[in-house]
Amino acid sequence: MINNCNHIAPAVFADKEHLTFSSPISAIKLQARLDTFLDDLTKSLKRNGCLLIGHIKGLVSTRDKGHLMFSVTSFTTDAHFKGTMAGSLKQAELTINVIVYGVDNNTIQNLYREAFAASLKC
Amino acid sequence: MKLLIMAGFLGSGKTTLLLQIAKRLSAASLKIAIIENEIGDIGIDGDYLNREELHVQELFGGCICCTLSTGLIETLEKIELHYQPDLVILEATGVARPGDILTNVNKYQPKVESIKILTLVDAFRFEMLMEVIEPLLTAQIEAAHTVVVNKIDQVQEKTLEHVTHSIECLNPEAKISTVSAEVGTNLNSFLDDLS
Repeated sequence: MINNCNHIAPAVFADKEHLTFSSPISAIKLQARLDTFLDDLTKSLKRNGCLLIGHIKGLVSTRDKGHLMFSVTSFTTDAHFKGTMAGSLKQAELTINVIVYGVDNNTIQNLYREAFAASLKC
Repeated sequence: MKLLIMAGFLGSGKTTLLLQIAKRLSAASLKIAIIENEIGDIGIDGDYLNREELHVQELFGGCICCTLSTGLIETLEKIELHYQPDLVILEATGVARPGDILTNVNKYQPKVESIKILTLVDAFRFEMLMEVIEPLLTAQIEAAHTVVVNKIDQVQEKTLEHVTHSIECLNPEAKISTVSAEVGTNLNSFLDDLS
């Protein structure tokens, strides 16, 4: 793929999800589930031909319990988290951008849905 | 108003460094406006920076060096008219060529006192990225007035020397700083220089 900037263009997938948990979940557990989700997603992207992770980044925000930013830039390093979230949560908003090279948008979307259903579906 | 264009490949730490710069300059009583350009259809960095109580305008769904160039000029005009900042920090997408942004912004030159390009380089991924997307990285480095080698806490001294040497070869005129925006290594001296 070549874009208007005349160089190889990444595929971009963006999503926003409202997370509602059947029973309250601790911020630590939510981070662990996000970590698993991101690990599943990056592994499946690689298995499906992804050559390079540009940036997988996202924000999980709550009305009054804080927020967490996450970032993945490589197949070989763990997701990086920053921000603070405390207490137990019933709901949160997830916003994510997946910007990668070597796979198309539909592939990203399918792999994202699978990883989301496995780790974050409530 | 002055304009600082922050370029650098995806995930190189632009938003993290931008936040540090904006906080430092705001503390020095400068009025800062931020333009966030993201290629995704949903913006994330703008939301994050808004939580830090910064004045942010967002442009998503394309790149200001090509598809959204008109939107950039309109946004600059709007900021000048309604906010009149001392400095606008423009965070480009990770796939933007800052030289092309400069060409577009020059159309707006009468109202911009000075334009500086600061390009971030991810020290940890530099060698790998040069194998895959060398033309883009080269264009980002060549256009810079200042190159900031970020994530130095994640690499060995030898790797860092190789990265800085490669940058010097690509752009001998650029000032090179080495920092870890996340951990804070060398950040104070970099921010002092920038101020």
